[in-house]
Amino acid sequence: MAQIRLKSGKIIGDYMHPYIVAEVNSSHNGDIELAKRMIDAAAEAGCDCVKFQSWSAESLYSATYYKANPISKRIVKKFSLTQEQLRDMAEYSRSRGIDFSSTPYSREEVEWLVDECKAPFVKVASMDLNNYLYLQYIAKKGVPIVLSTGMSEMEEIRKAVQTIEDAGNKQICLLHCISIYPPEFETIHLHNILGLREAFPNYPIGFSDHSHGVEMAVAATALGAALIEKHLTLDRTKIGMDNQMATEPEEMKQMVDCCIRTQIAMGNKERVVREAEQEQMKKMRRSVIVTRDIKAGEILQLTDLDAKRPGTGIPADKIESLVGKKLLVDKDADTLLEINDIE
Amino acid sequence: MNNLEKLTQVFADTFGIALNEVAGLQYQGIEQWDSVGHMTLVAAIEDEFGIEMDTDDIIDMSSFEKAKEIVAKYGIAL
Repeated sequence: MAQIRLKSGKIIGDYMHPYIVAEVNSSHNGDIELAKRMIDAAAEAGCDCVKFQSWSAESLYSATYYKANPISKRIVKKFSLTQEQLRDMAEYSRSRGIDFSSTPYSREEVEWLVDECKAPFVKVASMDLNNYLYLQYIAKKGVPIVLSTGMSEMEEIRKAVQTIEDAGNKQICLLHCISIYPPEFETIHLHNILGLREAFPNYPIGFSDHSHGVEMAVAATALGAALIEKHLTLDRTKIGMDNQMATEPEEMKQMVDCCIRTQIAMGNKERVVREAEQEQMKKMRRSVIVTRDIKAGEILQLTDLDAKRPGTGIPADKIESLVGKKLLVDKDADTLLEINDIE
Repeated sequence: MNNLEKLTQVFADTFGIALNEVAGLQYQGIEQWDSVGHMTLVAAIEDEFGIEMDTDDIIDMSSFEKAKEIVAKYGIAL
């Protein structure tokens, strides 16, 4: 199965323990103390990584956009973190034992994320999947790339992967993603995870989950998703860019636990009856009994035999082989037949 | 039209609801009042009253009642 090694040394791969990323986005509202509390919440929920957004008012939108949406510029400025704050968040995350990464939106932000924040991978947003020169630039940094594929046709994804490979980087994890917040369930098409795996067998495939609830992440895990990304907020009722679809800490922990249990439980295709189940067999399977009082010397007929619990005697599948055998001892009705009872 | 009526009208126009549905309205209480709708609402309030709200007020304005308090902070008598 496809795997990549992150700069932190962790290996992520299809059908392995899913690498779970808590997407903080801007739910900290530009408040560093709130951001730290979100890192705490992600760590306590059992997430492997907490991910921020590196954007600034300048790197995300054009002046054209801000002219039409002047309030957005004020909000983006308010919600963005400075480079130094991002580095602080990276250090704080590491102190909490959780990986840190971010999504950069400019070359300068890429440099800072890799060189100063020491991110174990660079996340590339769906919006940049067809920004090939930018992909090439990121790829040349030599850091694993986690690439979201929302809004993209398969050919665009192929070209993006080819661009990264041509730049000498083969450490890629692709994320199936629907760039709707939240998406309708019938639009999620989790089988796209399998489709991406067929198309890109050398790279692990994950899922960026924008849906409500834990079910989609769990189902993606069952399909072998290598990475699960889920938006985190401390309070969904607060006004924020994605609070309408983000997950609160308690549900995040539930999701992590469910994904981990699901990955473990998926196991493998090999059919093995474990020792514990063999023990259970003694209680739960049936054994051959006689249906009436029978005297020693009588020949057993099929109507003389049935099967009931426990499973400690002659197994039920042997009933037919007992027909025609002579009984050596007297047997009471509804008692287990033992192998020494017959000739 | 007094200022309270103007504010009510802004909410109704922004979200396409009746005037009598505005009182008690809360963020995410209706589909239209999501994060995008909120930006539209803020722009409409600022245009209506000729004010520029602080970003902390923008992200704190989570209900019609809260909007009344916040608008009043900018010298708009309701």
